[in-house]
Parts: sequence; C-alpha cells; structure tokens
Amino acid sequence: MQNRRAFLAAATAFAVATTGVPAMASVDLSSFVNEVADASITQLSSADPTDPARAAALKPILLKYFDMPGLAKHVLGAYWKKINPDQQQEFVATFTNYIASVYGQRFKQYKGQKLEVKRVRDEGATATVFTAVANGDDAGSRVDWQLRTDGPAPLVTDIRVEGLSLADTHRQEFTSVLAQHGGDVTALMGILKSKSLLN
Amino acid sequence: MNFDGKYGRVLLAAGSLAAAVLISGCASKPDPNDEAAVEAYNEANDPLEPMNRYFFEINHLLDETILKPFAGYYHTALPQFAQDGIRNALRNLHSPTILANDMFQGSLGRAGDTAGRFLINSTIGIGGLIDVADSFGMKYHDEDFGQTLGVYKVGEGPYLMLPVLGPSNPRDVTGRIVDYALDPLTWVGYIYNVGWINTVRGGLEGLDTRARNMQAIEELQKGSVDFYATIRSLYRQHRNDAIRNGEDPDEVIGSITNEDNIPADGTAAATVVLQPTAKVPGTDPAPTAPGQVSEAN
Repeated sequence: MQNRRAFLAAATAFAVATTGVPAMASVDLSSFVNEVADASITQLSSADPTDPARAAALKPILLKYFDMPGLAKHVLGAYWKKINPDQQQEFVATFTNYIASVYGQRFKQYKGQKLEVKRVRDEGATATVFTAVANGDDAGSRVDWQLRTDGPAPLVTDIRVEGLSLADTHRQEFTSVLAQHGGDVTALMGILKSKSLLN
Repeated sequence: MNFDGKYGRVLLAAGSLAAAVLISGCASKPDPNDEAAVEAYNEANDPLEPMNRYFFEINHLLDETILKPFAGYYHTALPQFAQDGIRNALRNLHSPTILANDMFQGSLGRAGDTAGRFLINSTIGIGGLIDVADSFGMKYHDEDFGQTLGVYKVGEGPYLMLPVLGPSNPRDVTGRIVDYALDPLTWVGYIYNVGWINTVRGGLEGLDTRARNMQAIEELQKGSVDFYATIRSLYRQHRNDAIRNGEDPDEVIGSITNEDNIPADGTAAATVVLQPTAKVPGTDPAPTAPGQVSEAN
C-alpha cells in the first residue's frame, strides 16, 4: 500500500521548490531539476483550479523538459516497432496529452513540499539526480530523476518515486492493454484519449 | 486418504474446484511469432493472469463493499493522533519479526535500531503507542522474510493475486508463512487460545493502510488504463526497492541504445530510454535477447 502513496508522490515531485546544495561538478543538472520543479509549481499554481486547466499548464512543461518521444517509445515496448512513423507521431502526441491530464490533476495535492538535491550521478550520456521531497511531518520521499544529457539540453527520461518508475509502470500497463487488444495501438490510443482532458 | 467422512467430501470438493480454477486460470501463451506479444507476456511474468484477475476483481469488490467504507469511517472519526498511535502500536508488534530478518540479512546496524525501538517504544512509548525512538534517530524500517529471501537472490517467481491478502508471489508467500511462525504473537495466540488477536491485528493493519491511502488509490485508479497491470507493476517495483532497502544499485543503469530503439524507418535519431532500475539479480526473468524470443517461449 505504501507503494501506492509513493507512486502518487510522483506528481508532487514535479511540484517542488528548493534550496538544494548541488555538487560542484554537476551544478547544471541539479539546477535543471530545480528549474523543472519551479516551472511546474509556477505554471500549475497560476493555472485555473480545474483539471483541464492544470493539464494544459503541464503540457508545455512536459514538451520542454521531458523526452516525450523517448518515453512514448519505452512505454510501448516491442509494439513501438510494429507501427509506422505516422502512428508513432500520433502516439507521442496522445501519450503526452494523457500524461498531462493524469499528472496535472495530482497537483491539487501540492502543499508547498520542498525538493532537495542529494546527489548527482553522471553516467556519460545519462545522469541521475537523487532528490528528497519533504512531506511536512513525514520522513519525505525519495525522488530520482533520470536524465539524458546527450542533447543540447538535458531531458527527463523517467522519474522514480521511492523506487517506483513512472516509465516502467506505464509500460506494464500499456503493454497489458495491447496484449488484450491483439497489439492494436489504435485501440490503446482510444482508451488514452478517453482519459485525456486535452485534444 | 479416506474421503468417506464429511470433511473428506468437503476437502475433495474444494480440491476439485481449486484444480478447475487453476486449469482454466492459465493464460494462453501468445503466438511465438508475435515478438511484441511474447515480450509483453514475458515482462508481465504472470502465467496465471486470468485466475489472478478473477481474485483481483473479488478483492476489489470486498474493498468497495467492506474495507473502503470502514476505512472512511476510521479516517474521519478518529483524530490523527489516535490513528498514528494505532499505526505505531501495530508497527511495534512487528518488531520481533523485523529484528529476526535484520539479523538474517546480516544488517547489524538495522537490527540494533529495531531492538532499540522495541525497548524504548514498548516502555517509554507506552506499549508502542508513541514512537519515541524516532526522535532519538532510530527510524522505523520494515523487513520481512520475503525480502530476506530476495537478499539471498531467491527469485520472485510468477505473480500471484491472493484472495483477501492481495498481490504476492511464491517467494513472498513463503516469506509470509515464515514470518507467521517467527512472530511471538502467533504463539501467544495458540498457547492462550486467543487466536483472534492476530485476526484483529491483521484487520486493523488493512484498515489503517487503506485509510492512509484513500486519496492516492482513488487517483491512481482514475488515471489508470489497466488497474490490474498497474498494481502488478507497482507491487514488483516496490518489493525490489524494499529488498535493496531503497539503496540505488551501484552499477550504472544500463540504457537500451541498440537498434531496438531506432524506429522502423530508421530515420529518426536513436532515443536513449533508460531501463529505470537495475534489476535485483535473481528476481527477474532472464532478459530475452532479440532472436531468442521464440525459444524463450
């Protein structure tokens, strides 16, 4: 059950300000994560307090800071290769709207939690930023940010809250739906659209 | 075995029912030529999926009709300090099994924390109602024999959804049985003929956990497109994290940067997607290399 609570905290993980003390060599990645968190808080708290408005506010943040094509590819597993580039494009867009809708809603629970960068691990083309999100009286949640650093700017490829990966969880969920629908990605997109608050 | 008696007939009937559920409960394997379906099937590691989904539905029904309403009352009727007191006491009662498993895993520091917590909280903390030890820097941690087996590289086995008890696997079922035998309260229940105390404790634990996660579960369910698969994935990831005690594995996480990740048309740049957690050895099915997919099935 704890896992469910921890998973939920993935939403609040976006939503955190910080006074982190970054490691000297990795100042840029540490401040990148803070920038993502700050942008999320600023945009989401100034949005109208409705779910569609929150989704609309989160979407540009996803597009700017997250590797949405990479995430979309990951969550489809081997099914990604079975669809053509046009469908892949469409899936990336549908998936982005779905993520913005689902996680935008969870910002309702943001109560001023603070994010603190604990450690940055440079892995060459990728990096992990280990942070802790303080939840008031609670011990706080571990939030690890997976980044790719091979492009002009870092991009988030996954968020793990208390060891629970956003990318892996959606992958299990989506490939299960696909297996039930004979691998029909169009059917999956239909279901994602029905959960989505954006067009 | 003699099946003449009343109990024999009941046993036989129950046995046939279980066998029928098991047989019909096996998931049909995917077409070996459908690479994507085979990969999904292997990743799910859930050969009993139809049976598991059946129990998932039953558990869901029990939750909606019994657990969730009671948890709702519990959450609104009891003040926060009372809820915290109950949770502290429940945790304190687990200290002997946690301590045993700390020692089985050779974590002497954590064993010291558990022993210290038990002594301090059971006395100054008024029978465990107040977590005094926490403010002395001895933080609560969980440990069970399923995790101990995981530490010793015992694989988890296929996913199981247990009636009432929820998500599990053969390794964690074994762990539950061992923990049950390790728990002094089990023996107190037997010896003094007060087995109900363990039932009450189990019920309270379920209630407390449900009440604390009311909103989280609702949000999770609302956003999910296959709640069963979501819970399956979260359970596994959570157990793997618990086995590592939340430590990040030292090895740098492997990224899948090979041709697998280049789209079919080959024009787009390869995107690096991390396999987000380095797997705990022995807990996952062996990775299937491309080309071996049909063999693996």
